[in-house]
Amino acid sequence: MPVVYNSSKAKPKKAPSQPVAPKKNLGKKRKHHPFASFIKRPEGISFETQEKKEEIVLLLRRHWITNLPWLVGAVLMVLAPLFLKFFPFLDFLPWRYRLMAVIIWYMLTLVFIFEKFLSWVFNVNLITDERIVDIDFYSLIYKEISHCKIDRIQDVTYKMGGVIRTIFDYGDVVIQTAGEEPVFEFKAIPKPASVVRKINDLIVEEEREKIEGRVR
Amino acid sequence: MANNFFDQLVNSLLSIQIWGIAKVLILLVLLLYLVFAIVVIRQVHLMRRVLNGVLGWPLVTVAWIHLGLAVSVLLLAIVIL
Repeated sequence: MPVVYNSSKAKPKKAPSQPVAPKKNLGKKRKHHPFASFIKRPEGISFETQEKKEEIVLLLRRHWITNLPWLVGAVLMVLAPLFLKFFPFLDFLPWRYRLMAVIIWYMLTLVFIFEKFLSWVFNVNLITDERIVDIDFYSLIYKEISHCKIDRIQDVTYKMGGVIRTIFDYGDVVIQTAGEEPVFEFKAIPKPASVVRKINDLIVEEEREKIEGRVR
Repeated sequence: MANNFFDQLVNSLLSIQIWGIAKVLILLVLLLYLVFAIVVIRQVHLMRRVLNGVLGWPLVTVAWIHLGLAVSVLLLAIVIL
């Protein structure tokens, strides 16, 4: 008798699949220059309060040109002891004390450069797929980390004025929120227009998620 | 008796050399600087914890070199001043 139906060969029926939330189109993860000021989807960077599925969309820090004033100051500090040849106002000191004065001066210069650099590297603004985060280190021991959910953002504007800012394309992005921190200010960040555009895209995406019921 | 005591006090104060005071002050400043260098190391660790993956070990290395320099300069000051 011909086999009409063999249950062992029958493929198992698939369980009705749950609607899968499409992933947000955040772009590719990419390697970045460690000193970059505008990093899209940075690879290998995370922050303290990051949630498991949260992804950093943009990492922003002040434009590198804003470091110029302290860099000039640092160069002057490095060169300053050379002027002692022309203005010998430490000559009343014994040589040992003069030597110590110069060494202490260079140590202060080193720590000045290091502190300014640390401040630039770690004072960052993050835009993730869920919220905006502002990390500020005000001094050696005082830090402030504020964040706000994307859906609580009410208004985003940017300010860009002046010759230097126009030439180097950087400015301030002001974000008004309905959260505890009413205003977030991303100061002197590169490409402020694209940052505003990205935040607006994320707001629209967040609204769409709400409508479709895929809010995390 | 009291006059004798004050004479001794004034004499001992006069016998202290100005460079001796300068040395003590410099050592005090360098000692404070050493504490500051330790705080800088702690600060770098805290910053790295807040934002992980940004220039990790180079910054820690610089902070430790800075502490090493602070110790060296303190020792140098003790020896040469």
